[in-house]
Amino acid sequence: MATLTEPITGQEQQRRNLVEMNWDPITRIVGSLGIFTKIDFDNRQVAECYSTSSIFRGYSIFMQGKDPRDAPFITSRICGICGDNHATCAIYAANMACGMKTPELGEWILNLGEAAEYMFDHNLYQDNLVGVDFCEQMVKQTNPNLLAKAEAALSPNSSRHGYRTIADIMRALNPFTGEYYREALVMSRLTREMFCLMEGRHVHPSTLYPGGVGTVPTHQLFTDYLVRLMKYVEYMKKAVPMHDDLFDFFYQALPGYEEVGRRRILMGCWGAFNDPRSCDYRYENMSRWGRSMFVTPSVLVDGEVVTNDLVDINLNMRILLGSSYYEDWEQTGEMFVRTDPLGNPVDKRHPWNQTTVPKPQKRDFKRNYTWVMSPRWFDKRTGDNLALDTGGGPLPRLWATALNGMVDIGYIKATGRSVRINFPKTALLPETEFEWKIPNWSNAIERDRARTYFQAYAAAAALYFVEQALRCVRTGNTKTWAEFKIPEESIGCGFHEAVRGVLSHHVVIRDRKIANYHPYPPTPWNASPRDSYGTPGPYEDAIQNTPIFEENGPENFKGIDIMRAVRSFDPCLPCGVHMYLGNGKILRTQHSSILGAHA
Amino acid sequence: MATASVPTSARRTSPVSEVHIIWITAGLSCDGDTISITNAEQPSIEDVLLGAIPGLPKVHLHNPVLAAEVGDDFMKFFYQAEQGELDPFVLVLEGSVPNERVKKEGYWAAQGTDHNTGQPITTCEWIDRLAPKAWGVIAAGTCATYGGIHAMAGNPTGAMGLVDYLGASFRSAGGLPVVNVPGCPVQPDNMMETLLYLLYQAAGLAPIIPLDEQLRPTWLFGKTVHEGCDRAGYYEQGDFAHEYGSPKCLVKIGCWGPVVNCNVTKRGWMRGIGGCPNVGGICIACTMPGFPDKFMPFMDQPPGATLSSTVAVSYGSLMRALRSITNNTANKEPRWRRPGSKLSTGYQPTTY
Amino acid sequence: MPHTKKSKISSHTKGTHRGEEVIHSKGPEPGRETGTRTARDSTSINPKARDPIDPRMPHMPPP
Repeated sequence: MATLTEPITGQEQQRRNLVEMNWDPITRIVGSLGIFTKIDFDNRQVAECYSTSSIFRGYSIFMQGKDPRDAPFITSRICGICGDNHATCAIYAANMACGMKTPELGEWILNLGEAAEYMFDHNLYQDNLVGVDFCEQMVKQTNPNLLAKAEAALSPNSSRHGYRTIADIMRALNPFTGEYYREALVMSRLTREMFCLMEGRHVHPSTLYPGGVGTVPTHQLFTDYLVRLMKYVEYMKKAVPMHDDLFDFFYQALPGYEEVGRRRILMGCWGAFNDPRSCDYRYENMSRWGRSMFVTPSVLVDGEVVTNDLVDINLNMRILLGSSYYEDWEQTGEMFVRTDPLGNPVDKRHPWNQTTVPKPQKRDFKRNYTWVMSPRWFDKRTGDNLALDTGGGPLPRLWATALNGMVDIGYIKATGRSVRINFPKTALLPETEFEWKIPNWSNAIERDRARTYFQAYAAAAALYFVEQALRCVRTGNTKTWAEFKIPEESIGCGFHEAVRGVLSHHVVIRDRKIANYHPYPPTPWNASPRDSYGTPGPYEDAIQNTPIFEENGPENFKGIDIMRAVRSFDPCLPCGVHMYLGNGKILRTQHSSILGAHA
Repeated sequence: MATASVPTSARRTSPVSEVHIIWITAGLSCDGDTISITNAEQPSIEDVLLGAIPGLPKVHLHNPVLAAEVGDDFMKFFYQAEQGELDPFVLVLEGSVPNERVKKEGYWAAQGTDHNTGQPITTCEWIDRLAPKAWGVIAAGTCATYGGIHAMAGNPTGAMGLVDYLGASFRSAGGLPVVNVPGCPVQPDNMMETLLYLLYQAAGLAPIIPLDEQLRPTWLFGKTVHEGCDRAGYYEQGDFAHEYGSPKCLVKIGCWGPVVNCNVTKRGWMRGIGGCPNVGGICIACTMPGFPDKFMPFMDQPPGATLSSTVAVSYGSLMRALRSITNNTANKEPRWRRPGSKLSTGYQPTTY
Repeated sequence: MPHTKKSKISSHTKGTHRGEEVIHSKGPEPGRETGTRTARDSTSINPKARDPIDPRMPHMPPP
């Protein structure tokens, strides 16, 4: 199928019998997203895909001139499900800019809080939001023949999760009436208890500060967390095989389903979970401590690691325009940062030097049609500006960690081809090992499968973090926060993984105030439009390549395969649009990529 | 804010047996308040929707983050409510209300597409269409109640709270003022309890919901953070934290608790866990109309903290000395509890 | 920052104490002088009697 990046001409439209199908709003995501497509029912393909987002807030504008210490509190409000990821990343950037380092126990506490966030968010998203796309009620409406097969298909792992047939799994995912749907809601609260123990409240933390955390570390704090964690570990021993059974069934029963949401393996992972014994927040040492993270950072191209060096990752970030409503700052903008602390030149199109100057104008699909910019990663080997995606978060995290083969903490071992997760005995179930193997495709099913495995990964990492934290408490190593002074002028950057993918914060401080602040969460990467070099954005290729397996014709079409492709990326639109400036020009159909609006 | 006066006919004459909730997340929002209600247990969202609480009407929830329906299938409930086909319904707004009038064209926030014009329908338009027809209107979270983060100084959208937009004299079809449930995000059980109360009221089982001058439920926001704080005893004894991570009172390092109306210290964030200053998080006053501007930079010591804490230090050190004496005495058992052949409890035995 | 008017309302007011510098000006709190926590970190009522009685026992004051 040709990859279409131009709007279809009237002639071609007539020849191909395309039907317009729009879904606005897309539900069961966070934030505002509308999908507008043209479907070729004869050939069962998505011929054209446009996306829009309709909410603009203006963080980059109102943060200017504010106190840098407020950045974690303010940026948390960018997102109502993963805000703490922003607060954490803001703290990483502030630590670097102000020259302090979070003390060891403070770092373990932060890691435990972030692990709880992954355990919570992936759980809620997977089984209360995405799960509805795979539930019996939905499949009955979109693919009755598939449901009939599911009724007859025995679950290979039913002895582990208790659901005899695949249809039983699907019934358990029915919203509110399904047993597993309700169990997932209950587990999403248990995990938020773990989060609140460390970060005080959810989603916008209260105990996180530049320099560390205000949580009082006692033996009780960590045992309170641990007993809840063990219940989650026991639940994951059932969840992993159940989701494997469900996803494997889709491949078997619908041959070709691997093409749904598929795109080139072109992903980024900025790393998560700092190791306090290695991380000193100095930019000069970032290459080293980035590699010590318990989720290894990498740029992945066609199944290989191009780099795992955060300095390299940082320097090659580019913010391109091309299809966006902005005046380019290349000629006129201020150069805030000429070289990084190691003396490397910093590009004018790097987030440190970005100046956003909105230029509202008429929409023209051949020229500018959106408020969303195009984050890209410059590949020195080829000169390409790569449109990396974040695969919903878990997929590149597991992929990068597996390939690098560096993480080895007992509960987790990266082997070079896979990640092994070792769970200890829980109350009713024995020691259990899971192995996530690098898949053949970057597609909807593998993004979804990776999500359940990453829940297990986060739980395993948390087991290790609790042990380290208890060691600190028992030896009187109880400092959680480091004092500091805001410098007159400074720069900093933070690299982290938001639940759904790469997250970076870049700050420039002048006169002890914020002069420039640019967060780049996952959704702008995923949702970016075609850039000035003509490279299309990730959603565009993934959705346009999606074949239709739904049994309905145009009259009752639900677009379920498109929905599964879109939701596999875990789109989070408040993050997607938090930072773009503009007058909220009416955005409707744009070329494939999403978002529009501005934050 | 003007005092809310409510006509005596506010109470619906016939109790409601079925109610729809139209939940707009399309204010300038992070969706954190919807995520928060999935965290509630007292009651949980499934308790309410599955009818686990006796006496309540049957509830249908239309919230984009949780809905099974997509696109037009989801939006149809909005159109039905507008046409009067979904009566009675409760309107919930999450997110700040933008000012669409400060510019010439375009929109800050919108949801769905107008089938006649092909243009997006702004959130303000939805509020205009639905609020007057709703039996009750709830503003969920500080953005919707008072403008919140997106309304801070220097913002480009002119964001504000729902009552700023509708005016203080606004009354719903059921005769109620807007019910404000602030919090950034709203505390999970605070929101669900308020919804529960309104459902009881709609069913004719409860009198009109009691609201304070800022239109907040009185039983939730009638105390200060300090009055409910686990650490208030440290304040009184003059024991103050000098750094983050200390278990002592945080008032010198940024906590606004003494002047903020919020119950998060009293009830915790969830299941008694967490609760900002209880666990080492300075109160940044996120339930208050002045948030965030009047409390930034958050880590600075609030004015007034120096004076009151200085007084507390001198009073406190006296109290500590006295209490230490009494604590010592309390930590010793009465003298008569000892072995030996002489009974010295005050009982005079005559038979042994 | 050409397009934003600077408002003073949310900025640091000179003379206000910065929370992160309190320890610098006032020194460590009682109970935290050595970087680790003793009973005095958690109580000011007879703290010495709340410390562990045996040197092999770690200090574990309450939250």
